[in-house]
Amino acid sequence: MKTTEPIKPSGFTGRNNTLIFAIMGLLLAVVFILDLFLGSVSIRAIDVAKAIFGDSGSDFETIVMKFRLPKAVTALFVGIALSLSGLQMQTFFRNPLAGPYVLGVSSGASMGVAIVILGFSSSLTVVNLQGLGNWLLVMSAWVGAGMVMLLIMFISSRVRDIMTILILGIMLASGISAIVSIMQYFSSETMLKAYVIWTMGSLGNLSSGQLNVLVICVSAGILLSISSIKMLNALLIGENYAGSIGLNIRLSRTVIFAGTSILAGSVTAFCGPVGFIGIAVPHIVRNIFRTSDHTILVPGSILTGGIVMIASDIVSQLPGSESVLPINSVTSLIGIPVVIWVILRNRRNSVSF
Amino acid sequence: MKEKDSEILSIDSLAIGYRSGNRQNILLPPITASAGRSELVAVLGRNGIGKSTLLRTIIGLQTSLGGKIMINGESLAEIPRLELARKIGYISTEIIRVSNMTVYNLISLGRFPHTNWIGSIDPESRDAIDTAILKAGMGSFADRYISELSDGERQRAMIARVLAQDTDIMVMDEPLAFLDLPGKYEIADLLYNLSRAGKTIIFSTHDINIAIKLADRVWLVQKEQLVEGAPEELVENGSFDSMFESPAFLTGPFSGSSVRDYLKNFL
Repeated sequence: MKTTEPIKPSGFTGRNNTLIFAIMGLLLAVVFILDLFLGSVSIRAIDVAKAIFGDSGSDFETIVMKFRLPKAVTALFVGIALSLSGLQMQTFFRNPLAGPYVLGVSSGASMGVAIVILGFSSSLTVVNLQGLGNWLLVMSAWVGAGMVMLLIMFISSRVRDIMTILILGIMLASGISAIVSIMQYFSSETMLKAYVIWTMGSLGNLSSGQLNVLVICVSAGILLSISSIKMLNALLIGENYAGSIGLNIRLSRTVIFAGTSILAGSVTAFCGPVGFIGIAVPHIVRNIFRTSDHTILVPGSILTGGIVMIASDIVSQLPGSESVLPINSVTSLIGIPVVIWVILRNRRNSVSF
Repeated sequence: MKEKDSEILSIDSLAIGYRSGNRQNILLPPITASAGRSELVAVLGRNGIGKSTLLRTIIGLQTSLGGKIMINGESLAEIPRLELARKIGYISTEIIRVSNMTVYNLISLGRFPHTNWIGSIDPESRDAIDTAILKAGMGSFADRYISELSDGERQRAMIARVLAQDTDIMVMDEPLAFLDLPGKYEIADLLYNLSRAGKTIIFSTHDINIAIKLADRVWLVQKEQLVEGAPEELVENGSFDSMFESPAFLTGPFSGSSVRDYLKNFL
């Protein structure tokens, strides 16, 4: 077969990526600002603007600058972190249903936190966790997340089947929560209370010290994700082919392992388990850009993750009403339909992701 | 077969197999074989005899349990992974299933050992990819998604990926499997042309007729030893007879005719 047709523009994907990125950036800015304007307490737009730009010193200023702004920043970084860890896990495990929450990595992080809060020094409670305490908390979450990641990596090197790994992940999460329950049973009342408050998951309970730690950790995770773009692209075609084109498999495993553990662990340490963002956002991004190229997917997940998480935060505040929904239920309601769609699509054609 | 000094790959008393703990499971007796520059080498042998393991060892995905592999005079064991990827490319029987991956994306992955830390496609890589697409006859479907390709088109895309990798040697595990009859001959023809254009291609196959017709050299993998030679030599000296040692050739519709006469039809 001789082909004489001209080659189409190289790298053509059928979509105008620059335009999509511009729209996403704009959308992110819009939801971020909206998040400052909308909340349980209704504040007139002009007062919000005054609070941001002026020095009114009013109650509004306290609400906007001390509560809404940190919460919006938290949502942004949580969204970015979970989406990037989900994206890397899906590529690494070649499993469309991988994500920090479903594979039990978030649970592992919870266990790390539980050991610190329930098991260690009585002076450590969520209320006075500051300075070194924050780092202790976040590192214990990394260790917990990392241990589950190692276990899943070990299992997936033996078992290829997507559903089997998913079920094992769920088992792992259940096992961990059983261990945590036992720890709760034996722990003192004050620590138990501190832990239960933590498990409810929230974007709004972070102290400024905790927010700093979160931002530093997630930024490190973003840098790791960017540095692994080329490796992730190679891993798409499986470890054998990746090795044959020159990928250092061990190095890539280490970088991706560290990146996902830090990203998922840090979020879980301060905000509790937040479900389904990590699994859903990468699929949304792939279908917007219709590409498998991580030079597009990584920045795409950063923007989309931020948008989706901040939007979830806006929804959870039920603007205009006095009540606030748990953030985890909102993200689950957004994420689960995406997961179901992926499962159904997977049954139709045997494409891995 | 060409003379010794044009050898690009030489294998000397190579032991292949698997290591588990301290125990070694060596599949075949020590292997000695070679491939010349710009040669098409067919690896023949029965299922499960160790052809895939041999090929995986040659490209360094699996460590050898003894012996030596030399590529262009350099020992394989001493070539770093990334540099090796610039010398030798590989296609296995594993089918890549990734949604939203275009043929172009797949082929550009062949540039991995040549690109910078983030894998950006510079003009040189772009040229290499475009050339690979043309050589593999992929021009008309470079922008399609790989999930939409037929088996033959997918094999072409995989070949284009290795062409973009710009290696002297291409190793392929059963590139003709799963293809329909015309598809088989189209890919075989492509491999032949690529070898004439300068690539050394080592491919395993069960299509003995294609191997005899096209290959410059055959590695016949048998339990007792690996026999190497030009196809006509191996037909004449009866080396292929062992491949037809099966009860199916003793009685019934496939019995009777001489193996050698049958194979001579393809020379």
